[in-house]
Amino acid sequence: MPRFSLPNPGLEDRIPSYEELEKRETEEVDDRPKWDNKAQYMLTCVGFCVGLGNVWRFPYLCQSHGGGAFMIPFLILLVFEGVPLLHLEFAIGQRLRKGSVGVWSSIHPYLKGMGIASMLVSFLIGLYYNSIIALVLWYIFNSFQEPLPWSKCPMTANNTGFVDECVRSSPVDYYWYRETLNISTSINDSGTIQWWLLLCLICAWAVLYVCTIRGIETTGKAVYITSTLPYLVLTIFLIRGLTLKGSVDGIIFLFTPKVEELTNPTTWLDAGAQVFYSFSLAFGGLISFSSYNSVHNNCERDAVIISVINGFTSVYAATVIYSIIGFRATEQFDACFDNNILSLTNAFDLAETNLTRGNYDEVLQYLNSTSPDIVNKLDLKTCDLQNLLSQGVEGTGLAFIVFTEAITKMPISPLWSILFFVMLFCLGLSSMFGNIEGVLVPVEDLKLFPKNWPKELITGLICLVCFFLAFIFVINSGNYWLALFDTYAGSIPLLIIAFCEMVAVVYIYGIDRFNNDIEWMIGHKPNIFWQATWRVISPLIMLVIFLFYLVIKVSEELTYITWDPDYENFPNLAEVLYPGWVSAVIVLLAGVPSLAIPCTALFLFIRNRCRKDDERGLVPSASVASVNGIINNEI
Amino acid sequence: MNENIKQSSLWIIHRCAFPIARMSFGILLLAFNLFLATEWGATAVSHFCFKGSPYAHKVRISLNAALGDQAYVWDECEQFYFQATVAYGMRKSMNKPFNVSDVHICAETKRISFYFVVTNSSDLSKPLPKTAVEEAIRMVRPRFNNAFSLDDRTLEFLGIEPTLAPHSEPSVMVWLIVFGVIMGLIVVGLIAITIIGHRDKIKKTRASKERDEENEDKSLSGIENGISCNPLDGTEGHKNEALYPDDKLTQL
Repeated sequence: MPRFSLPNPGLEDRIPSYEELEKRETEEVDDRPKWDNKAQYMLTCVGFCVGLGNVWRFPYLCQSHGGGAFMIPFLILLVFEGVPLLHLEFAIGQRLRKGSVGVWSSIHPYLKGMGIASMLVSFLIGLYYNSIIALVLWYIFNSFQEPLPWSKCPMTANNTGFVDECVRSSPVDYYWYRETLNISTSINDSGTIQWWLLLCLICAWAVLYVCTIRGIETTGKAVYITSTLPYLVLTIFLIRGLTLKGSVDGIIFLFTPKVEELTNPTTWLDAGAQVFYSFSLAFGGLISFSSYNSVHNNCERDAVIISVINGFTSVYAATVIYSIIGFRATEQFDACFDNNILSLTNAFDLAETNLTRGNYDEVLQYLNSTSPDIVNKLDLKTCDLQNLLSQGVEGTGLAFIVFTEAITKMPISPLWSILFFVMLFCLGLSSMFGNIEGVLVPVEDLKLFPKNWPKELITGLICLVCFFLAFIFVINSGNYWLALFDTYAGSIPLLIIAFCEMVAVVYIYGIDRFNNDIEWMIGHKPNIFWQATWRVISPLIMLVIFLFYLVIKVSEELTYITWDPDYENFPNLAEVLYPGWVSAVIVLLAGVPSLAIPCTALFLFIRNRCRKDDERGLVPSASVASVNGIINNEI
Repeated sequence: MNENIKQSSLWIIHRCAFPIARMSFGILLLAFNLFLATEWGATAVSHFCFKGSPYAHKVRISLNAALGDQAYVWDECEQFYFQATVAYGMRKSMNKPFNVSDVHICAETKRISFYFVVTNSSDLSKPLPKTAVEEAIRMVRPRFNNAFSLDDRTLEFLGIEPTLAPHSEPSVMVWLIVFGVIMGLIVVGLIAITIIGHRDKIKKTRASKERDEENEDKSLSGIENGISCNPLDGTEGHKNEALYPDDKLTQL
């Protein structure tokens, strides 16, 4: 195993020594914030890791990549990629007691760019994530009525019929695309700000500000609710779902293994990416949270526990989601079948109870042989339950279209709607805490604001700036921008930062020093598993995923899907090429954080060079005041 | 004597047989007339009550879909009830005395679907135009549905679309109310946190000021010759750097 480490002079000066840490611990002279208790810390980390992706990305991946068989690459990569990276971030934060910028500058001043990159990524992702939360809030506000507004089409102005766009698609589609987003047909038509979404955006940022106004002091209290409520709601939905017809079909469909999918490299790539993004690594938030811990906290055990909880939550949420999807698919199947039966009964004037689901096939065959022209004119649809189940949807489509439709078919729909969207709100909000932490702490470390400004003011300013920038997500084409950010702002830079993190800790900080640190902190040296994964396995996995991602993203055509009522296959979404200027935006989104690492290193290197040239004649000498040889540090 | 029997039999024939024969002939004629009339009437109705007739409306009834187990059997009595209800509708809409016999039903199927035509009460050969019937049905549609415990979907008049109920539109208000409530809570929370934070800060500065004064007292007691030094019994003491040479200070 490679044991070399790059030369790193002056490292001892930049990092606090063991004695100093012990002193800080016992005397509590540190004015750094602290967790009230271990539960707050664990709940905050769990809340940060468990987010909307667990609910609407994992079930889709699971179902589309071979169901139960997807668990194998997922669990393997969880163990070899997720857990080691998590332990690394926890340990380095706890040891160096600083946020992301501070930690990487301590390891080597030229690595400050890594902290800046984390900050930029947290900022960009926080921008669009909170806009999704605003949409969730809109649905919560509208769930307090019976019947739910997305359960039936609205009427035209003169009450003669239903709105055409709604009739052609479906009430839930119409409500999402027209009444909520009022979406334009392409990213070029920006349109105007939708005032109702603006109100929801104000609400979202206001809630976030109130919860993060004093850092972990306030978020620590908020996570008691935001991190535990989702599990409660998931359990309620599971119990409700299992009593509905067809839910077990959905769960069986989800977990039926298709082992041949394991030979498809995309499965492994998606599993690796999902593990990585699901753990919210490389955002810088986890490092900050860990740095508020006591210095002898057992970070190894924390990392394992949080990984297990995260994996378990993904599987649990997938079960719940697919039980409800199974119910919806069964309802659609029954409706389709009954429609066919009704058409046949009406066309041939058979008695009502003659044609049932049992004898449908024989009777259809008989009718087809006797009067095929009438049967053909009826336009009977083929109803296939498996086909309906495999119409996998992910992302906002799953939550706002598929799930809302399923909810309208359940009795007491407003209650289920409120529960579901409050769960999504809590999941999103607890992830936003980590994002804000990942932006605020670097901003403080970089000393962008004067020191005497109170923390509340700085937090308020950052929230305000983000609020104004988020206007781009509430215009008519806002959803297209959201998809753009979702695809490109997070993926590539995070992979680069994570890879650099591992290299920095293992080879620049020194794996030996890191091992000793952990031994001092938790009492025993990390065993062979950690050594192997930190040094070789995890960086290798990150590199492979990064290269594959880069190749795929660069080689594919830049397209996006639009809602276009004039499209010939409406209500299917039309796939359209991005206009040229979007490529520039993509380069900005993905490139700026990634390039922050080398550019900052270069900038600092050049600045150092200039300074060394200037100050060649002077030799720094430390003159220390002493009385009788006693050094008075206290004054 | 023979002449008497001849005379009495002639009298019987005159008095009894002829009237009887006349009566029966009359009855026969009447019956024949009636038969002809109904035959003619029936053929007249069948002229305009058939599957593609421009005067006939098709009705489709789905009893099982509406009532399930409690579905009643569609028999002649139900058919009569239907005719009576249509006649009621026609009376209400046109203010003319329609009868059950003016509603003619034909082409019944097992589906429970049939065609019906309404004729003018005075003239059996004149069926009413479709529009008049449509108007009447539309007017009494809710009563019609109720009469049979069905609804717009299960009692279908093909060609007469049910009028859609107008939507009530106060829904804009509901979400604004919820939004207002939540924003109010947020503002209250913000104010509460600010006040608590301010109070804590004042408490902390007061406490630290007291601590500073304590420290000052402690340190003031050790001032001699204007040089203040911390009394050694209060702290752990310091390494005398002169006795333990540190690389930093003594570089020979």
